[in-house]
Amino acid sequence: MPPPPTELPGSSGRTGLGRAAMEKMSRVSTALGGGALTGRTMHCHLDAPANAISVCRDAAQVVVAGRSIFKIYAIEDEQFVEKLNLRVGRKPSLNLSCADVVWHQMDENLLATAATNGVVVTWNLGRPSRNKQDQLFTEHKRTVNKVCFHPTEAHVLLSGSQDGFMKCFDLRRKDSVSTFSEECVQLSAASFLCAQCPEAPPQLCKDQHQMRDPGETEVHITGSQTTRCLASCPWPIDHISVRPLPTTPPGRLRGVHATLEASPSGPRAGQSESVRDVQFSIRDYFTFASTFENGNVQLWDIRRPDRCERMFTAHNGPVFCCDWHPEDRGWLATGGRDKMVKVWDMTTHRAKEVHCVQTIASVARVKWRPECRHHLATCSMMVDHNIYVWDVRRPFVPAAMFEEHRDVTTGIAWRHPHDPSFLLSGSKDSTLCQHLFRDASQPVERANPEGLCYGLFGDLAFAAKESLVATESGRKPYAGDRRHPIFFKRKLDPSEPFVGLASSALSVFEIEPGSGSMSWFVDTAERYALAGRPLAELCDHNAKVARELGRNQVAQTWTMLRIIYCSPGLASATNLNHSVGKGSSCGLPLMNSFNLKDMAPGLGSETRLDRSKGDTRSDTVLLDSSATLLTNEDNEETEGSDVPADYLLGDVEGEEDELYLLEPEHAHEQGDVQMAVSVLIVLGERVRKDIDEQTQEHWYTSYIDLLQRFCLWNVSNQVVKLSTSRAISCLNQASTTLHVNCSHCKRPMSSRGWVCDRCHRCASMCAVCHHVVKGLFVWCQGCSHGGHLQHIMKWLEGSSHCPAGCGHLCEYS
Amino acid sequence: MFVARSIAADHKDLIHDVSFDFHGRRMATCSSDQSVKVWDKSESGDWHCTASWKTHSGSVWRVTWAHPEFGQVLASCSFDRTAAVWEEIVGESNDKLRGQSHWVKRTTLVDSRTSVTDVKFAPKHMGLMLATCSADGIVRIYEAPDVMNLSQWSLQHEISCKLSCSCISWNPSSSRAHSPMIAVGSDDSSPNAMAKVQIFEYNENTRKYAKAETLMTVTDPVHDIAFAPNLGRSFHILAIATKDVRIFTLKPVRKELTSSGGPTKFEIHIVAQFDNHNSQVWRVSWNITGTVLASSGDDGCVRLWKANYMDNWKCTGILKGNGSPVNGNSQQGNSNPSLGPSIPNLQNSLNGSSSSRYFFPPLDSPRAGSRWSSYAQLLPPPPPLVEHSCDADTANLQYPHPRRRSLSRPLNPLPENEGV
Repeated sequence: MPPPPTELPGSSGRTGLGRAAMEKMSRVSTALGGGALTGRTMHCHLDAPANAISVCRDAAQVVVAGRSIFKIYAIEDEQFVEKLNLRVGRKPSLNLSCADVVWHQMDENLLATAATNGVVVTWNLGRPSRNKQDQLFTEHKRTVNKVCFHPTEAHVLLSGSQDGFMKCFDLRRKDSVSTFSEECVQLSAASFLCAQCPEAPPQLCKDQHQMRDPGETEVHITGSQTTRCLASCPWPIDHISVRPLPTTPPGRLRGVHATLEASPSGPRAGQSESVRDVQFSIRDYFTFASTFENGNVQLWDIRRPDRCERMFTAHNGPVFCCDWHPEDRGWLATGGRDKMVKVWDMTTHRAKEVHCVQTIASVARVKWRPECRHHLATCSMMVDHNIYVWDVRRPFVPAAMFEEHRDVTTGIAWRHPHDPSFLLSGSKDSTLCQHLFRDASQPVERANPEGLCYGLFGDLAFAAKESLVATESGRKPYAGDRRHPIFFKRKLDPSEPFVGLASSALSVFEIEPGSGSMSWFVDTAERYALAGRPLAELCDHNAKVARELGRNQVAQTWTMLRIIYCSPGLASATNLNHSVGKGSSCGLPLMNSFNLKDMAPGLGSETRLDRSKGDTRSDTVLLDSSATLLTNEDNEETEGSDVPADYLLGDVEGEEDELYLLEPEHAHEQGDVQMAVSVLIVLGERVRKDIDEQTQEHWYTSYIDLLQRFCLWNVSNQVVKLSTSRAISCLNQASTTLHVNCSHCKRPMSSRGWVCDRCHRCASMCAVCHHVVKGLFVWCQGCSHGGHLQHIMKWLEGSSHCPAGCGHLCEYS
Repeated sequence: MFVARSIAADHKDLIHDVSFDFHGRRMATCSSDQSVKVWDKSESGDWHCTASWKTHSGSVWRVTWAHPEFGQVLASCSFDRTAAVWEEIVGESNDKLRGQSHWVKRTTLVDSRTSVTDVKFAPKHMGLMLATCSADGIVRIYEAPDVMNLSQWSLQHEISCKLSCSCISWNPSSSRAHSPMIAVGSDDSSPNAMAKVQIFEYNENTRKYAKAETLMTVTDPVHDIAFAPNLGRSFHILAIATKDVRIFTLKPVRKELTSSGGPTKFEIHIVAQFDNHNSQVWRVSWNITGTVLASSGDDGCVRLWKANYMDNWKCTGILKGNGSPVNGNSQQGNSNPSLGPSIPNLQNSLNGSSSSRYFFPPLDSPRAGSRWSSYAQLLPPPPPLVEHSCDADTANLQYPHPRRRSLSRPLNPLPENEGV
């Protein structure tokens, strides 16, 4: 399935020549040997879940370690081949339960594993016996999380453990050379003496520094400018917790800077934070970095076990991993449970965060990609099974994604330190994978570069990748699949300016007033008269409104309706079809006979048939017959003004779903549900029975929705009121509550009757006739007196004062 | 004529979606920078960012507004495998950030195991419902049983589409005759995967969504899909953004003819297909009445499509993405004096047979834009890459092909099917 192996630019020399080619004590820092790495995306099944993997320096073998697996596989072109099982012996001991494994980058025979029982084991593949175990260091008390060989020193091994200690081993000796721990920071480096009162007894100290329970492990002091932390940083101590040391002589306060504040107090106080990762610096011979569960990162000088060079809080929560940049001397990438990968510049005085990548799950491993200065690969320890390659300059979108694993990925390693295209991974799903970068899925490529939305008034919001809108010609033409093979992509040239960083230009295209915005809809809706006058007047009014808004076709339709329904002769002729040919300057449409050339023969009878079958059928027929009729009530128009406009008035009964209107000059029309509903209301009973209830309801809901979009609440309510459909007319009776207060005691009327619960009087008495008002009750909002509408109106003809005699000058609107 | 108002969005990565609210006065944008911004239109028509907050821990693909009846509610979906529902809180904590409204997360929908690629609220008449689709090919439909409680959403349906989903669209029809319907598009690019658009319909009897149709003709990755606003039509119009713009109509076949209880059968027609973007089409969006379709493609242009009375769809406008004046050199066709008079000819050449016809709007001379607004150019669309040989009329296009310019060919009928 994958394409044949390709030559990698810049790589020469054949690897996989075997161990014979190995040169001791020389770093594999030069380019690949005589030939390129070859291979394909492939995987092999392991017997057990993997916890870690490590690649041999020859890039031809990989070691996989887990709780119950410890094997070496050869990476061949087409497959992985098991070469050696290091789990030997009838009863595998816990020493073989590996949490981590590392292959020495100088000595192909040397491996080290970290066991879950705290043992660090080294393995010598050169041993002739079946058991390759070399040395056993049982110094850690808890699981060893990480082992790391010195990149250039053959015999130096570093381990970091859950027990909080990091130990440096010289493989020529039986035990550790030195031990590093956060504890050490306190014991030796924190020879902090309260600077203000070096010799003062605690009592005096108490005055100047608020001491809290000096007997306890935590002491709170208030520092000053001269109180400095001696541990690693130059900043004054200010409101921090300082842990007095057990050996502190009376009167002396020792402590370290606030960064230790996160250390656990209580039962675990005094115990160090678990070490999650240790990594020797690639460039600085003596330096290594360690990460802790409390979010700290420490920088150590291997010669100074007494104190760390530097410490800073890198993450919120555990820092699971770190990786030194292979080229950039000072760059350290750290990944934490807070889902972030941060890149720190360690060359500056204070560790500076230069990049921060936000991933979607906690970061378990991070590995810089060879030859790509800004790329790094990450995997997660839960939820997410994918491996991502990020460009740290584009911190939000992964540059590549490998989705092969079905369970958590536990170990990732680039196959060769100078080959950016081969990534190996081991997973809890018991597979070992080789990923080719060109086979990766690229979320960036698939990501949609544009957003587009039509606004209510015809305006358009458009956001597009700047590179798309900046260039005149746009991008490459469509070429089938966007995921091109790698050799068509930009070459991985670090000197090339970064093209991946993207931003979008956002603009709103606002339609100019009058040129097709939806304002006609609003005007029409507000000005149409739908009820309350004779049909002829309504039609005339609406025709006038439409004409004033430049919608001549609509105006003509109203005129036609008037002619059809208000002329007694025509109104009875129910089954005539009218096609109105009109001149370019027509005022009133002329009634012509039906134009058979344009319409299917026999449409007249068809239409009658339709009526019995429902309008769906009529749609079909009309569409089939002439392709003229798009929708029930779509107001169609054309820009072709020369075309003689055929004006088909579907039938005389006024099924407005068959009114087809050609608008010769005006663009930007609409599916004219407004017309449909208005006609439906105006014509009322005359057409209602001919249109299926469901369709009417559909029109009403559509129109009301449209009115509400334009905030035409009054019109919407009028339409609801005038509708005869039960489902519609109940719309404005829902969720409306009228709260009534008693006009005497001003308390809310709780009971349903006319009698107020509290003052036991009838609330709605007419102030004129002193009877209970049943029916229309009108009252003055100022004094809350009122009564029967007629009585009050009569009263107000004679007096403007309140009829109840309260002296209020009543106002009725 | 459109006026382009450019907005300094200040998103730190690509903007993937913009969305107007129900009343068109608010706009939401979402970006790969993991944030969503809400923009409010001022009296003067300017858009002001009134809220910007980090919504996800991955690229935010889509943002969408709920009907205002449910409050000021947004939903977003992200590469981080979640969708989230946000509500604006009025009257709280405004003093912290002047003029910034406060949005709180009401729920996170975590059912997907892969990137959630689209999220859409159902039409209002269905209640407060939400559909998401994800890269693993599952459409999920959630419902908030209590519209007052936005933090409780129950997963009602899981529809497996078998293909990596990229976009969904609810059928907006409020008619009782139309069952709830959802169209799903896939951007699966594996060669063997076939039809990329599936339509699912709710079946009242089984209370499940069942596949009603598959658009077999759409086989290229689909990036966006949109039902047109229904407005009382008895049929549905569906726009699809794939390697070209396509418009389908779906006419429900009368119920009597179908077996009762089964899914509605549709008569499906493709009514338009345009490759004028000459590249991937990323977005389609309908105007409020469902009569004008806007599409945007890799060419950075927005094109407007509209049908005439013959149901003949054609281009009615092209908007350059950033509203910048168009460079005269590369658009020499603009200044060609023969173009103006040729317009009537073009109009006459329009007829119903071909989908690749288009219409030139009258051209205005480019006006110099002010700093903030400039006139978006209505460009003449370039000729389609593929000219159908049956199109005798297109030979009348007196429009110089950009690539043929150097030939200084006289403006007479172009030979058919020259190596374009």
